[in-house]
Amino acid sequence: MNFHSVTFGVFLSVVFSLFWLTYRRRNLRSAIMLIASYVFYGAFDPLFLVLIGFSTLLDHRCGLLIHRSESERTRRIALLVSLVMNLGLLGFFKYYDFGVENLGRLFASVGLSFPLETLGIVVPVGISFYTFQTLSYTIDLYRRRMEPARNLLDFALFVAFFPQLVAGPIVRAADFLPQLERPPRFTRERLHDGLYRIAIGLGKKVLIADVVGKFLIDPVYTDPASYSAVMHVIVLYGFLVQIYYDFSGYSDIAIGSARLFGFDLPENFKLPFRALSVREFWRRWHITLSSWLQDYVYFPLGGSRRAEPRVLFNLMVTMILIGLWHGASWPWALFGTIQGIAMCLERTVERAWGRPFATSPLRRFLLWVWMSQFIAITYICVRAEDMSELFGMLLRFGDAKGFGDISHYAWISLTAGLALHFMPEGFYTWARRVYLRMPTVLAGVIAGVVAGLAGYLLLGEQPFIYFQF
Amino acid sequence: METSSSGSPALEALDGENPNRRAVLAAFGVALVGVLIGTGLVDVVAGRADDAPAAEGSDSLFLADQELGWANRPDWSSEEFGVAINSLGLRGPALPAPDAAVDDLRREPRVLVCGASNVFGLGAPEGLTWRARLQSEFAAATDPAPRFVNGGVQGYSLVQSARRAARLAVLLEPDVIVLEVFPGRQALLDSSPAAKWTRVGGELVPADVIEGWPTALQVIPARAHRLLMSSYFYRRSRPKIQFGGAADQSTIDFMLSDAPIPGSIAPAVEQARGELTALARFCEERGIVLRLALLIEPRFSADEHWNNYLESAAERGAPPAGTPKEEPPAAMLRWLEPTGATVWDMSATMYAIGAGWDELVQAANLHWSGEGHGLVAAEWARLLRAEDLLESAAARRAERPRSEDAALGVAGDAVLELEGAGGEGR
Repeated sequence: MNFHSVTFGVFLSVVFSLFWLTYRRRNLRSAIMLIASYVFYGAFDPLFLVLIGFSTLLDHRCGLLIHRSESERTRRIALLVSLVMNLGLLGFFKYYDFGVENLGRLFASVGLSFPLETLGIVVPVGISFYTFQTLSYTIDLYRRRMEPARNLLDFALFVAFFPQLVAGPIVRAADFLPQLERPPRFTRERLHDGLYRIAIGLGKKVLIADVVGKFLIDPVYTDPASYSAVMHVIVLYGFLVQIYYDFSGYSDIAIGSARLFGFDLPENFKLPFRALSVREFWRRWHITLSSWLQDYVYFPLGGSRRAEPRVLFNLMVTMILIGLWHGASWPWALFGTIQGIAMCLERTVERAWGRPFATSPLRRFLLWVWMSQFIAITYICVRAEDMSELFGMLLRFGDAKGFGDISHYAWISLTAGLALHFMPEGFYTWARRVYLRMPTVLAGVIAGVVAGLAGYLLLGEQPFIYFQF
Repeated sequence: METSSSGSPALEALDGENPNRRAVLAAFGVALVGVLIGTGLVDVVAGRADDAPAAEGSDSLFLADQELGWANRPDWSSEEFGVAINSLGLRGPALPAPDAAVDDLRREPRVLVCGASNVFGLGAPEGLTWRARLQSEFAAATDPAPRFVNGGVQGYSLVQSARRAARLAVLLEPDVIVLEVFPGRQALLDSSPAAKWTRVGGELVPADVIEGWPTALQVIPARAHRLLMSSYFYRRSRPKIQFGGAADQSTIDFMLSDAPIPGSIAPAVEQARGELTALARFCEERGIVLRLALLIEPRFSADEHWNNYLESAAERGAPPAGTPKEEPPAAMLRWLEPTGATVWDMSATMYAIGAGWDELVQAANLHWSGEGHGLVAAEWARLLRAEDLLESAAARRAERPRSEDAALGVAGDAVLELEGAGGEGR
């Protein structure tokens, strides 16, 4: 069930009504949300429910053991079971085929045959997201930073909460579970805010990301020889626009939908292409993933409080994991490695320089230009499925045959996407404030106009790019 | 707390920690009404602004057809696109012409060509289509002059084209039928079962609208469909709901080749061949010459386009990587053998169109340009001459003229009894 479908609109309306009719009974409203979440997730494939159900039961049990036991050994074993099982399942579904395929090649290169074969595994939608969520629960319990979920129902809802289940934002148990304890808040402003975020997300996804993808990116990558090198360069930036508006659009709809039920989800994007450094970029892009890895990988490795070589090592490990979290392929590994190297270089240069660099508009502009090129070029890895495709995409830059025939829709959406991204931040504050204050029916009309425009341009319900992760 | 500006006393009860349930639902209801108004506004504006014809509306080129799914609307015309549909639903001049002598109409050789949008001449002005060119070229070939009839309908599959050819054969008694065949998904995976029309309470509605509903309740979706047809969005999305929505994504780019046909679509492919076999028998029984014109995708004349297609559509039904581009037409020829029909392999002409892509194909819609039609018409003229088909037809009609009803095209709806054609919709 895609967010940008009539089915989801009807689903959201029904669940909203049931939830608020029963909201005063804590367990009943949680049960309704859980059933709705399982219906939502089961619509992708009912078999996925078995896996998420298993993860839920396992981590709930491990969490209780970790919390209740006074024995450090028992707590460690319970945490270890949680880590091994969760990462094992994630590893199997996401990385088994990749590992076997590459080991097979390695063995073959020295004349040996590898005993295992690829299985053609279908990666369950959202497994990377909810695995990280459940891990944060058991790890935080082990660190005694939070109380466990009051019951299995609450925990299951935390794992499967449908607005953010399949593509984030990645929510921490410490942030979500307390929201189940208090009565949900519903004010006119929250209703408007929910509608606002849903409308913004829908517009981002359908009016910008899908149009740019369908009419600019796909034609050029499907038939690269028919387009000039200039077009290939434009497509590099176009792909950034597509993936940003696609993913942040999903996050907006998730945050907006959750808000309608009185829940607050963390922000996942903060105008990332305004970043002046790689480090800043990852504070603005997929914020919940980078902060998760910072808290559960980078800091435990020692963070920046170790000797400089170890800090650089920690950075590299974290960034390579960011790459591999997205996908089991060499381009993703390369992507993470490049990000890591850039971050290490950045840190080294900053330390050598010894004082802030971005002290004038010109310097900030130069940094921004550098960052734009760096991000655009490295994100080509995101598009390629394997290294040969990646090299093919890079080599095709030389095939200059003309400007190609690109729909004007693509140019309009690309321009609008870039312009909106670089609007003064005050514009967004102002627009949101105006929307929150307007009469509800008018807020609905505006959301309806966006939905109508989305329906007008809807291009066959293109799935969200981040579903694959 | 901010003052509510909702204008509704019920909504005032919202702004608190413990909201009134009725107020919450009322607020959401008001918002939903707003959403519907907003969507409706866009629907109305887009419907008026968009020049595209509605899929099933009265101003559309297309007409619901119980047997074929859809057909050209009789007497429809568009000056902008240079298209005129005659009273029989055929693109081209009126039949019969107002001043035509009935005797001539009974003796004129008739060549009927059926197929999809390229045969229809999508985007090409009437005067530049294959039909107009052949009509002009053979004006003096026989006495009376032969008549070329354009039986093309956009979006047709082989099943639909074959059924339409048989229907028009009863109506017009042509001497030669040329049927466009191609090895791609549109031709082979018939979508008309999804587009079947059925009657509910005497009203014709698409079968998919009432699919799965008990007979007693079918009137509900039928009425809803009728109501929704006033929405531009709904009308516009009907073809997608009917066909795209039902399409198997793994075969969305299916191309016949030597690779095994996936089990999920094998029945549809077999149904297409069954329909051709039935048409061949039908024509043979009536002394009509049937020729299957194999028209492949011109873009694939270039190796790079072919290889890009294989690569990009690998998981959506394209033949395996490395498949030579000659394999689909060769496989199609073998696939057609059991039908018993003679095939005109026009691959060379299609490759020539591909080689001259910029001039011979319209950039806007990727269909043959007027010049492209010229190339096709020239090839068909060569093949007609090579087999003396027009002369032999003229001689046959001199001995045995067609019926007066067929000469005037007033035979009414033909009831088709094509043996051997299996599948839904029969």
